[in-house]
Amino acid sequence: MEQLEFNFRKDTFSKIFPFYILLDTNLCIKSYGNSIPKIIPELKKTLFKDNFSISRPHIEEYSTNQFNTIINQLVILKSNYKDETILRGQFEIIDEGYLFVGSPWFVSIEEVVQKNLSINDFAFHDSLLDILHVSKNYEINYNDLKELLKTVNEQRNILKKDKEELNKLSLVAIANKNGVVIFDTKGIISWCNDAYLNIVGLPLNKIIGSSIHDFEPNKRYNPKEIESILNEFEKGVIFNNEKTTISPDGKKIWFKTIKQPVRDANGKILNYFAIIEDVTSEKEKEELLLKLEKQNESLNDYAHMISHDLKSPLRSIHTLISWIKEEKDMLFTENGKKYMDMLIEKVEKMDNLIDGVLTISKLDTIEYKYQEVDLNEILNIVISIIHIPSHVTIKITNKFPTIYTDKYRIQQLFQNLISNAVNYSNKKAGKVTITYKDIDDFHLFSIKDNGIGIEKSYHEKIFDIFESYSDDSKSSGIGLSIVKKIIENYKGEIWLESELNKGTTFYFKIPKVNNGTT
Amino acid sequence: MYGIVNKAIEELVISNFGEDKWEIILEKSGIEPSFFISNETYDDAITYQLAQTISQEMNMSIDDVMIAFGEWWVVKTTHDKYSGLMQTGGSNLKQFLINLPAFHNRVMLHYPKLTPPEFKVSHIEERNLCLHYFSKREGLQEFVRGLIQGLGIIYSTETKIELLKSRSDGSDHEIFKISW
Repeated sequence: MEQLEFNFRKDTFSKIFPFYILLDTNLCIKSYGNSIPKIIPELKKTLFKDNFSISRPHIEEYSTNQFNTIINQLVILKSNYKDETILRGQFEIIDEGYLFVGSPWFVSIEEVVQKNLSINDFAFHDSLLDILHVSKNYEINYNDLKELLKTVNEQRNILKKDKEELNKLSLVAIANKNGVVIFDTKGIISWCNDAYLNIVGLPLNKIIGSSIHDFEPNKRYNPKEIESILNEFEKGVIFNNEKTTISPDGKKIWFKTIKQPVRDANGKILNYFAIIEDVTSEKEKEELLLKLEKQNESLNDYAHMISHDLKSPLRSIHTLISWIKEEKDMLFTENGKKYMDMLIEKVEKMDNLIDGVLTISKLDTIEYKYQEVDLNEILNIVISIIHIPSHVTIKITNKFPTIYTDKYRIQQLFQNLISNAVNYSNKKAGKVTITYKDIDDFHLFSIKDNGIGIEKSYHEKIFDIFESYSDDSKSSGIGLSIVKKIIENYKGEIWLESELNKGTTFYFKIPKVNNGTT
Repeated sequence: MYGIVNKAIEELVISNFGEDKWEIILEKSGIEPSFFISNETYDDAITYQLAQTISQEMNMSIDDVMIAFGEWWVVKTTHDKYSGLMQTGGSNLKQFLINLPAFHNRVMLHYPKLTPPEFKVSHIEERNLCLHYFSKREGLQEFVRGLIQGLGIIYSTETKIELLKSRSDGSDHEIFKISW
């Protein structure tokens, strides 16, 4: 085998082994690589053992004999100076001395920086820097995974909370009496509640994965219409409509449907949901109300028409009878005169009756106009416009309140009750007493007379329309019906106490809250 | 590309424009992963898509995005993660640039799945040199310009960068003349 001999100049050798240390036979440092002073600046060309200790393998003493035993072994050196710099490598016997070749041992790149070493201080074949780089990569990887784990845990907690929230919401949706259905922007259903199944009348497996358009009440879309709706879904349009359909048992059903998109935090449409509400009973009520309003209107028109048409000939009859009575007064017998007077009274009663009917119809049709009304003023007006015979006195016992009410109706109320009290006074000295009491949440009023009184059996009936207790030809039997209707509109109450031939007291109370008393 | 590149882009966006903006960019890029692991490889298309979306979202040219990213890579990413290693590259800009080829040649061993670019230096003068950039990837020359600007920042050295040759001019690699 060919013997090769390597001869290097010191500089070249240092370039290949920048951390070499050359010892002579006395184990004194003779020479060292260019990078050695950077890691051990204190190094002197003195005895090896003054500068270094051999950490591994163990030697008894620093002698050539002992050095010879560690040839062919990995040797760990430690500098004897403050930094205790470590070198790893091997000793070889050359000429009459020992050559150490190796590298410093660092566990992190930071130590390399601390020693002020650069890439140029290491031989290219030295892989120390690469090992440190690989180690750094592992550290970065470890930190990445720690960060990832933290993120995963955070997201898991968020998901857990979201799941709990979702569970609550889905319970609400499941228990909802309205149909709830979730579908994507292509209209494909992914979830629905039991109420929706009932509306559609199909089992769950027929619904999930099908198109929402297949189950529209009373409507079949053509492909063009569906495409147009899907475009609207993509735009996130909110749909709001009402539709009717016929149930399997032939009943007409109204559905109110709201369709709206569910978006994520960035506004992206995730899916759609629809709530389908059965509004049949509300719709039926609305229709009934409309029908009743229409009927009411017709009845009022009819009452007005009849009243007007009846009053006109009645006024003519009244005039004609008056003329006959004036012209032929002398020719009438006593009975004839009496019959003529009775005829006039009956005509006047009929006129009152028609007025009463008109008043009743107006009570519901004319809108209530609430305002502050001083009842003392109302009583004065009433007393001034009704006819009070000279034998009747009216007494108002105390001050009346000001209440928030409809002036026209409250005047009508007092006017009818006071007129009745005055008209049915059959005593020589008729007395009508009007009283007010403030009772908690109510105003209590009473109108007392000393007139004919009312039999017990009439105490309820007397408020019914066309029910007149007396034989008075002028009584229409409508006045107390109007009174009761007004009081009921105020959510109040009316009743009476009476004794035959001694008199009657009408009591009525109306709530303060309803009337906003001041 | 290794995940560290995409992570650096993420950090650049979050530091400058906030986390919400990054979420928007991720969403608009339409890319699948939302977390990058530094030493995992990801499709190059992801990195290009991110740069493209940032360019649209921030109303910046793609070149400006690449320059900003190059600067960020040196000043922030390598400083935070490979600070020691960078310092072994040299104590000043000139030394670092001279060491760059050897430095970068080591890198390919650390990242076996990398298609690494290669650097060479020539015409080394007292205050300038030429840096040759060889890469199989297209469109990263402005990223390299950003890297050089970043080095100027960390070594507190004002630099002038001139693109002498480019693949777009028919050359087989880019040559930057760097003066300081």
